[in-house]
Amino acid sequence: MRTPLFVVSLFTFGRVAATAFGFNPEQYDFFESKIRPVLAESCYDCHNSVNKKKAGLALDYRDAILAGSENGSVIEPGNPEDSPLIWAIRHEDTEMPADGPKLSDAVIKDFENWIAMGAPDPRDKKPTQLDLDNAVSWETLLEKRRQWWSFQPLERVRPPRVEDTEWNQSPIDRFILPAFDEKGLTPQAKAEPGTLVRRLHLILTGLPPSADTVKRFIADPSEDAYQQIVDDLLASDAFGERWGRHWMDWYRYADSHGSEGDPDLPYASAYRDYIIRALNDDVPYDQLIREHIAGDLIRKPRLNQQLGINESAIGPAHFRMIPHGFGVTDAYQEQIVNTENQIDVISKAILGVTVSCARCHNHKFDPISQADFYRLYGVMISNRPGTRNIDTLEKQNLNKRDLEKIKRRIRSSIADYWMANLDKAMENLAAFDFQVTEEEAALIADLKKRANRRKKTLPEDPTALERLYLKQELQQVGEYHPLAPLAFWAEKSDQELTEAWKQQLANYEQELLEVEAAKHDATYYADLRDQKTLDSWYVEGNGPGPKVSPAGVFAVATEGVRAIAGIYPAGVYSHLLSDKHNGTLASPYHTAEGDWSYMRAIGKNGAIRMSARNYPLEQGLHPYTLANNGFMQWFPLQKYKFWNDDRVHYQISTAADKPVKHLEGRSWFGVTEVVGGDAEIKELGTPLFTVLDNEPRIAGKASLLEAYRQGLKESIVAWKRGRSTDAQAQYLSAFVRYNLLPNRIDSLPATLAPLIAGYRALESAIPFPTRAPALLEGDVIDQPLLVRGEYKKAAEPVRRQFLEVFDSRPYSPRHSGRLELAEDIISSENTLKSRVIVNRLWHYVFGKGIVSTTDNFGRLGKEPTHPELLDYLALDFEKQDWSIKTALRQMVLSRAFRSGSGATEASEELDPNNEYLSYFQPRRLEAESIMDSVSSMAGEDFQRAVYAKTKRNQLDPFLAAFNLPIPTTTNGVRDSTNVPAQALTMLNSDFTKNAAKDWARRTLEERPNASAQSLIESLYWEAYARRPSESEFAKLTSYYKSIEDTDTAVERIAFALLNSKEFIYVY
Amino acid sequence: MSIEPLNRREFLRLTSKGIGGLALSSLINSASAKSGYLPQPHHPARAKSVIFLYMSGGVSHVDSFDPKPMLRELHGKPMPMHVERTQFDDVGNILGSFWDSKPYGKSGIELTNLFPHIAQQVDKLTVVRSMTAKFSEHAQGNFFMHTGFPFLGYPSAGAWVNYGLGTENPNLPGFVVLQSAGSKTPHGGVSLFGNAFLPATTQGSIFNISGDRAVPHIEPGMMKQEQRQALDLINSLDLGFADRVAAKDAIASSVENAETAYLMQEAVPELTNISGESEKTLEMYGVNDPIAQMDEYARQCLMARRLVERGVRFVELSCCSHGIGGGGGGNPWDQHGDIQKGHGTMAKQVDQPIAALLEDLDQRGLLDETLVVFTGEFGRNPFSQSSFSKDIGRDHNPQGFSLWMAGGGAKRGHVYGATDEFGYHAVEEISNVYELWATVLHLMGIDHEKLTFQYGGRNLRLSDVHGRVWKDIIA
Repeated sequence: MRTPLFVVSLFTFGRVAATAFGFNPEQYDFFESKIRPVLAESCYDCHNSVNKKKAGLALDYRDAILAGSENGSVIEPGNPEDSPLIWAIRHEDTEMPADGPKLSDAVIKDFENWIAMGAPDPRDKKPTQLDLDNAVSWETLLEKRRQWWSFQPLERVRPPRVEDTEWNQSPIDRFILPAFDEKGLTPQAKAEPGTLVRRLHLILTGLPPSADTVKRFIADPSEDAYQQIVDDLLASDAFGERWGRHWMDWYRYADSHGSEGDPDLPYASAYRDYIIRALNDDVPYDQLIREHIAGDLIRKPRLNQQLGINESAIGPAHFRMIPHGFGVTDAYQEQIVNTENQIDVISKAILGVTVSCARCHNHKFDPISQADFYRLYGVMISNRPGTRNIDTLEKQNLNKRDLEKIKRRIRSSIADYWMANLDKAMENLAAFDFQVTEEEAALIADLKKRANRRKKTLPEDPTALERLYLKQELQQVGEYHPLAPLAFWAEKSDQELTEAWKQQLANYEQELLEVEAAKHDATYYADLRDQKTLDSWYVEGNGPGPKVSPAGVFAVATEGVRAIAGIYPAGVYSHLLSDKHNGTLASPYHTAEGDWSYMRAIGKNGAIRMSARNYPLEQGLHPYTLANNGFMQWFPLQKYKFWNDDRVHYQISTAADKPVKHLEGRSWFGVTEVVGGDAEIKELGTPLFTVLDNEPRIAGKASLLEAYRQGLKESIVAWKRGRSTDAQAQYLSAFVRYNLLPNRIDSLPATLAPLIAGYRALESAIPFPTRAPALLEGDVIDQPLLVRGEYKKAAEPVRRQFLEVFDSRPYSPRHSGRLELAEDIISSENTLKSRVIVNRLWHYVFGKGIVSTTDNFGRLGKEPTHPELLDYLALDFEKQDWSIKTALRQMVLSRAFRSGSGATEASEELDPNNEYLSYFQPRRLEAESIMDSVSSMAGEDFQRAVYAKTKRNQLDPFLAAFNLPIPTTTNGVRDSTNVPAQALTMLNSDFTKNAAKDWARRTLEERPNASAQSLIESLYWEAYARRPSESEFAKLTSYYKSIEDTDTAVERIAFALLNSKEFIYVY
Repeated sequence: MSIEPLNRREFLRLTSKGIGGLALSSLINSASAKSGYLPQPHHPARAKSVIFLYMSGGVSHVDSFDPKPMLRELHGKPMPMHVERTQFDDVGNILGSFWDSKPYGKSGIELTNLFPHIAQQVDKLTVVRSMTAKFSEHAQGNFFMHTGFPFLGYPSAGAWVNYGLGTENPNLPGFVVLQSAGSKTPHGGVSLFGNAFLPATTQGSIFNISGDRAVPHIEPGMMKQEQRQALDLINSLDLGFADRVAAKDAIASSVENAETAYLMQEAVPELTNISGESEKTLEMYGVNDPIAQMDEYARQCLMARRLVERGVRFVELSCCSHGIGGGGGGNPWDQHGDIQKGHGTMAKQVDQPIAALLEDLDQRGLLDETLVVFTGEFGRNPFSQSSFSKDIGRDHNPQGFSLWMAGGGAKRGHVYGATDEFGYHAVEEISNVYELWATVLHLMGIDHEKLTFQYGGRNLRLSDVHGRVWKDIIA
């Protein structure tokens, strides 16, 4: 059945000079320019002769194409109408390309012409894999794909001239009206005033209007009155609660991470409240986008003086709303998934394109390369998940300077006081009974358990408590605690004591060498007593300063009976002024190598961890350790060996800043060193001799006590002068913390007591930080491109930058690039962002976007029904200072918005999807709006649904029944399904039953002794913003009369109205 | 070339020929089912329904369907090969099985005596011994096994099947998840049964069959007569509303839903009422067994048969927890410690009921058109978890494990694939979840590469971009 080629070509194109195959160069050019690129881009993937030959068909060289598929020939050269290939691309028979959009009519025509020519095809050799890979260069595809409408610059088009006086007031209407004539559509008349008021309220605030508001407008339905309602609604708090909920859909807002245990994301609601405030304040959209990407980094943040917070810094919180996997064994794989989610959300929400599609290969249809994905990937992973103090700097630094001043005076005075009490201290020491009683032993054992598992009550008497804590500390620190000789050698004779001292000295020297060797041989070592090290770490919060603190720094006790909380060796501390201050201190990355790692730390609920690939949650392979100690200690970091060869970092933070399972309240930490390697490190503590200048002769208990006295004296003197050694600081701290040196507030002399009281007064004025989920900047990483998305196949690192279709300047190597990304996104080069947002607004106002696929403006999305209007709105939006309220105001003031919601038969016939807006699109309300409507009938005080916690694994069942999605990614169009579960919920749930009861009771209270007619009318005004029709009235009256008592009758009618469709529709 | 339901508007036009003219039916989460609309399968189907016996927590394959004598020989010795990262980072020595093995049935397939009743049915099974998963943690494993992706946001296999084939019975949802008082949703949560981006009508409806309210809000809020009156009033208000606005079809369809809901209030209790089943049947399944969990699981198995009989496409069963060795509510098979007791007790719970289900389906001629799939999210390691409960439990093993299928066009008495001699890694016909679902869809007449849904700019599939059909296991 196949006609020989040359016959066809001679027959069809006999008038042109023929080549060997009967084709001339122009015909081959035609193939090269029109046919080959399409075959390569749209067909080779599935139909090639190298790795995939679907249906036995390869289209990648001449002989293959002529050989056809397992079902026979696919082209009949010279005869397009008989060529199955043509049928397929026309979607007449099968539909090809299978996974892509239909080819354009022009391309189909090219194929028809090509076959009519006789299918000239110079591809005479079977291609190799390399040939296929290079079949179409990315540059060619990029150039072609950027021609898609949404990547084209916005066009400034003047609204058409329109004569109709109703439709020529707003540019929106002037763009809409002409299509009516073209399509033969007649727009609906304006809706009734009551309907319009209700429509405005539901769309702008998500709540039905009060009967009074409705009646007022019906009495005066003037343009001024209409505009006044619009302005009032836009100015109401309810506006932000309504539109904030839409916004939350775009950023997959959630209060938990999902998966096993569904752990909470602390402070997620800060983001929700931020969005609601921002929309109510009409913060310009470009500013909000800037804040969403890099609000924590912008130079002039938006401050909220009333709340005392930096609003802008909350913006990036959405990056933390990732659905996380649980206790992952492969942290890199998890990070890829997380990062893909972050990229997916910002690219869909802001740009309306799916960059995450390009993880494994260049985008199939859009001008987005695989490199683009890894460009953004680098920007994302150059940050770490964390918690941020969002207070204004003023609030963060409140009283800091005054506290510092007082502290200097405290140090000097209390040093003198202690010096004067040296004898007392020695008496206390000599008299201290180090024997651990049975009860104390039991308490110490109990303290080892997690806080929520402890069974015993600690003694209330501060002296008893101190005794207990000292004995606990001695057990923890062991023989090298400065007081260990007194505690552990009490039974020794003088001679034994002398021996033990010598032995300890020798052991210590040996072990010190071992520890030093371990540090030397470590695969990772960080000395945070060294400013250079700290400079390479990452610090967040108002607690830890940028400088390493010298030995002898101390903290004033902010509560309790003690004056001084502790005196510390050199290091980094979060609480030197207040343990309400917060902080997160994190190391650069390194590759875990070796069996052990440790952080030398101190603190109160100081949350220590080693994190693999920034995984933030806390589970078996990802443990946190809480530092609760008064004496610097090495904390082993569990699972170091497990995570060998992976990218890890160390971190310590105040307990409320833990990104999961956070603990509120006072918390602090201090750190001196971190080490990772093969050696197990022994706790070396601060034995007595480390504070003594000359090696003393210890010949018994008396000389031992004398050595203590000597050490103490020297430690106090050095401390007063600010010249403590680490050992002296720890040594002195032991005397102070256990009140061996007098440290009780109530015993302080008159010179000191007011200083401490003054300090505490200033400290108590410091607020606990306001926090939000955040990204904290970390090491800057250019992510290697992963070949075919497989993470074990890393190619070259890709420099961070914006999508190449818009900009190809690489970002600075000094920062993550979030700031640059934010500016690139809102720059004029980006053709998507304003189109996407005005289209989103349009969607919620008119029921469907001008681009109906609000989250996809790419090749697989729908094209705009009114492209010129869309560009007009987008440009106008930017001109009006990116004001969402202005844009919405313009939309709801349009004539198109005010049309009635009935449809003529003609419009249903000619425009079944109402794309041209000849009537207002009636539609079911969103879940939250239904819930709020029901609640508002029951009474005025209720919490709006937007404030319900969004636990991914336990969505509110009412909201879920009405299509609240489980938040995983951007969702710009809520489903509006119609399932019996909804009817069951409305019919049988206590929520609606009780609302009907409350509504009925309220109605009866407001209208005592009212007639049935008056009661029914009242319910109608509230539910529907209208009077009942005569037939409705007749039905309801007879229903009313069929029920014996009035209360029940009103309740039943209220119930029926809540269950009616009109109640849950905006129309 | 995806099987797409008709354009919704057209579809509603077809279905709502006026409220009065429609037969009212009872279904729970399905509106579209009403039309009896069934997309055409890609090829002739072998199976109409799937019963998914999900063994949440992970059954030890080396103690059940893939016995390894080598483990007893080397019991107590360290693993002589590289050991992969484990969930608990707690690797002990080789642990021989507590259960004896021998060949069963005519097919002579070697099994242990952990599931003695199922072993008697071995000639009905295809055992796949070379399954692998990518995740060694429950939630990710569960998502992976249910949806082909390791996290929420993707449709469950049951939803895909319903999207592809529609339900045969408009009176019931096409995807039912059975739970009992003693069972909980596996780790990962209810989105394991979710429709994600597919139409809501395809989502799994959870029937908790222990009480008298299998479905939330199924109990009428008022007396029947009163409710009827209220519903009549509501319907007439709605009809009036439908006349006034351009959403007639949507409103009409939601009026139907209210009627459906009304009838469901009786239909669901009728479905879950098993008093018409014979004493012999109840006994065969183990209904009323003194062990509460076994009684509950037996009822689920019986209910699965009743649902399949009524044309439900996909039924998932949920094991009940005995709280042994780490096996909590969501993951009852998860015996990190005391696996002898834990697996023994769990096996006792499901063994007789599942064997009875196979037998019952077969006797009624239903097994040929019902595909029964038995699997967990992963298997368990051939070595012990050293510090957990005296060396007698096993950590998760996604590198190789077993599942089995029965009926619905699968070969009878067949083994596919193999693990190494330790049961540690799959080594022959290495298989995965994409292949499982590609095969299940294939047996249901669906080409897994053609069952797609365009979402977020991609044509998404249950088998993602992977998968091939296990041709060798098809009868």
